[in-house]
Amino acid sequence: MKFEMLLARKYIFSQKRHTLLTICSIVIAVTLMALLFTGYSTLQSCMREAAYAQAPYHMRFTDITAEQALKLSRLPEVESYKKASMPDKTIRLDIMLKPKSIGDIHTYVEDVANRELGMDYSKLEKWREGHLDVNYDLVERDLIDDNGRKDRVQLYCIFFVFVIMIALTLRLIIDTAFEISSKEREQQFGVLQSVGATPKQIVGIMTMEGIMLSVVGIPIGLAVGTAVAYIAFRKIAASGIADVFYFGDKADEVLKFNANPIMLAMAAVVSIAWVLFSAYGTGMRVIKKSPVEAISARDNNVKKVRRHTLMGMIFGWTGKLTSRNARRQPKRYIITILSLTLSLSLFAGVGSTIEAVTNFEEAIFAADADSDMYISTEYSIFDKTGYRPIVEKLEKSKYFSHIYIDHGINAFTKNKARMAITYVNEDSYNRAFFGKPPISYDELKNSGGYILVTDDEVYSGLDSIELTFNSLNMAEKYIEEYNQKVKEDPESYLFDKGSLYMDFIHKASEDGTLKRDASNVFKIVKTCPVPVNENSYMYSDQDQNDYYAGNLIATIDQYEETENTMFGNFDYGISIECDLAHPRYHMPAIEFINANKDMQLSFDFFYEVHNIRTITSAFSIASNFITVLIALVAIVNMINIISTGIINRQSELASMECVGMTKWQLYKMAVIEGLQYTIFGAAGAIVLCILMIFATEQFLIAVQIMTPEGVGSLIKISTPTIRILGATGFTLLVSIAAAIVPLKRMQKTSLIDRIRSVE
Amino acid sequence: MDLLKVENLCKTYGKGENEVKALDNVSFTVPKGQMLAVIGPSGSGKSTMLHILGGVDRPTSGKVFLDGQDVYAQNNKNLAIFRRRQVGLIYQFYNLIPVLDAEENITLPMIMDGRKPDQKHLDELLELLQIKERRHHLPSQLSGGQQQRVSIGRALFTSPQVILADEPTGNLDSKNSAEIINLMKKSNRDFEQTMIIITHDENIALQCDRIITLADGKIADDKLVGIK
Repeated sequence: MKFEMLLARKYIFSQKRHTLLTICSIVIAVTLMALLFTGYSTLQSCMREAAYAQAPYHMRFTDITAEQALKLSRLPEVESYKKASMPDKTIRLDIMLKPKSIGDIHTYVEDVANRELGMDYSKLEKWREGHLDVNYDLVERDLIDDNGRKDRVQLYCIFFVFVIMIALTLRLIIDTAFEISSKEREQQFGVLQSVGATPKQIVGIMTMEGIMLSVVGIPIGLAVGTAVAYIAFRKIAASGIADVFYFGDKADEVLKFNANPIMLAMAAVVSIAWVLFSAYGTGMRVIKKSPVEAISARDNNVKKVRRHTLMGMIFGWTGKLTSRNARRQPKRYIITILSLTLSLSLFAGVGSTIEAVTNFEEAIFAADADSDMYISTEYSIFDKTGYRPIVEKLEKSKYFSHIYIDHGINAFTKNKARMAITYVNEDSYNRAFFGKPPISYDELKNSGGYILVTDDEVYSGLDSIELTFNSLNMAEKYIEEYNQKVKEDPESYLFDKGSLYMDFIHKASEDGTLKRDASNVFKIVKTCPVPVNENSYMYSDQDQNDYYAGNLIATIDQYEETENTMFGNFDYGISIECDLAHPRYHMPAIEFINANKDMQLSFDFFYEVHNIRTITSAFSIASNFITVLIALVAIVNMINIISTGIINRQSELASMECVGMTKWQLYKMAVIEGLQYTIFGAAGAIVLCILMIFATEQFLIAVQIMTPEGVGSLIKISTPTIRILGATGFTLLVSIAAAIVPLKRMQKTSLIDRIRSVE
Repeated sequence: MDLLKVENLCKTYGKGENEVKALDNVSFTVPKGQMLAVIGPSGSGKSTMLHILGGVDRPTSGKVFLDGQDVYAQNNKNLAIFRRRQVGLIYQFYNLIPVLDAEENITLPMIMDGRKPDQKHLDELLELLQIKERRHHLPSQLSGGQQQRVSIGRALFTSPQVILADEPTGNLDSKNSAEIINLMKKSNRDFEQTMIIITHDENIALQCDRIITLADGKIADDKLVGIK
């Protein structure tokens, strides 16, 4: 081994550029691996902390005697316990078990209750309610019961399959670094063999070099990987993800970064294995050549080429040469194309999915919730000014920028077409017309009339319109029944009369007792088309079965002038919508609403939107890290394969120059080489994305989340395609640089020296 | 009429103590159609001179004129075009492109030039080189002799004014060597091409019109042979 060590050391110190490249490659690969392992252990740790934070014990016994508590606390499996005396003199005991298997937790708990507390097995199930709580999640995560262990093994298996897949691609990075380094020493290895070095010794030199470089590269990689994982973790934690998934008080404490030494050691072992495999593999490749072949450094063992290639058809002879060169190392070529395809489709897929989720979320909230909060109130529809004190309170709080009131009923025209009548306050009026009302709120108020919003030309030019109200006059028996229900349970129906009200409407509709006979003539001051906006709540529905002719809009002051008969004989509370003046007022606003007995928060859209955006942003951060990870692998592989290819063909390229190839023709060939990877990578990625979109849509149709008509609405094919093309442009630039840099460096060596390397 | 004129050619490698004069004030002329052999011991500057004549390596000083044109007065791009059109280089180890088949290797300089190879001319050349049957074989599928024929074919295909051969038979057995030299002689005779051949083989040198002997970068001897 002395000889191998000596030579390895000599090469490491004499070929500084290659040594640096190899160390950098090891560092990149190990960094990515450490990132993966640390990320996994941190995820495990966060899930464990969440389980602990929900219930900080493995078992909690309540309502037990001091004697029973003593017996339980002395169990050999108990690691620690917390005892609390309750006001009724009973004891509550929280137990944490030792981290070793107790078999099945259910059996263990039953045995303990039977043995220590004298509970009969047949009565156990009933006894457990109110006496024993087991934190099964924590028990599983702390690997105390066998099921938890089994689950953990399964998880590890899935994780390691993923690691192996990534590892195979990552190994290429190290592999190519060794190959570049060995290629330039091929002649020297030939000479060494010719003066008596055995093939085993040559392989030994490379392997020893791998070990020595690992000593430097692996610790740096582990440190950098852990640091990157920590930065990613801080970013994800800062997105507020803990608040979304954990509803306890100390959400932030659930998120704990965990650089598990065992996981890091595993990352190191996997990394050492790669480096050794790569070094050994390179050594084995070196000795495949006879000393004479190595000394003359001839590399013309191409056995088969494809005569007609796409690149040849597009770019002529340079394209043909490029295409044929790529097939000299078909395995590496395919892996690079595949990793490029994967990283491009991941990049585009993740971006497009996030965009689709965001669009979907915005569409939902824009259509269903164009305000931050829904507040239920108890003011009566017959009390025409009942809303005022509530609005005043809300305005006075300063927590809200907009307060929307829109109170409407359905009516029918003479030809039985539906028409909605809506009374709105100023904020709601402006919102209804998306800030561009046909006349000002004050003009409408002063006119004492209505704006007719319709797309139906039949109604244009009218000064007034007679409508029959859907005024919901119900039979006395239902009103009595309704009032009785509310009286029986006033708490439940205080702010939620809406659903009860709907139940009665259905009943009355079915038995034909619902009367809709009140009518009125409404003065029209302006007719305008329905605002062109997909989020408009105004009707422009041409459905023949339920035809809405339009909307009559008037101010809330006009509502005060209306007859109560318009609204039938049924009273129910009305909702007010609000926008927060600033996101930081969210919690104070909720506290304010809760403190007022005449209002109740019925829906908090702000919270829902915030949650979805937090999840989207955390998903985006995590997936972007994975995308960057895979993209880095793909790009490093591409750079390596292109630059190795050029270095390996140094003499061949010199030959071409000798027979008249110009520098620009050489560069053109290099550019086409880069183009070849990016074109095929991008084409693969586009096809993959289309297939993924198609598969997702088919799945959603199969599980009936989407209808066949909705195909194409989830993610448009153009969305990932544009992203892929953008990323392809960047990849192309990198590939061109990867080709031009070694070519430029090569040009510094005279043609003669390059030719002589052949002779 | 002199096709090639070499004036005070010097080539120095290294600097200071490490300075080596590969060529030291070499001057000579070569008339059109002459077959010239350059001989000399290893390190005498034969290959350096050949590379400079072929536009592959720039001289430290001195000039090379081909058909009256100062070769090194050209920029790099024109020098590449000069190599492509006006000289044909033949190497001892063939220097073929492994991914191109025999025919593609032969036509490579013309393809680089953006010209369409003349199929009739190619067929005739392949016939002459006796590799017509192996025109679609890759270099790895050819014997040493066949590879050298392809290399000669590549040098001849554009009908350059000068063919420069650096030990073209150095890697071949005697039978193949004889065939290659006969081929070159035929080309010299039929196409009136000027040939400069570096060789260690006295028999080959004696088959040329003239022999220049180089020693320590200088012309030690320059004589006409006359046996063809």
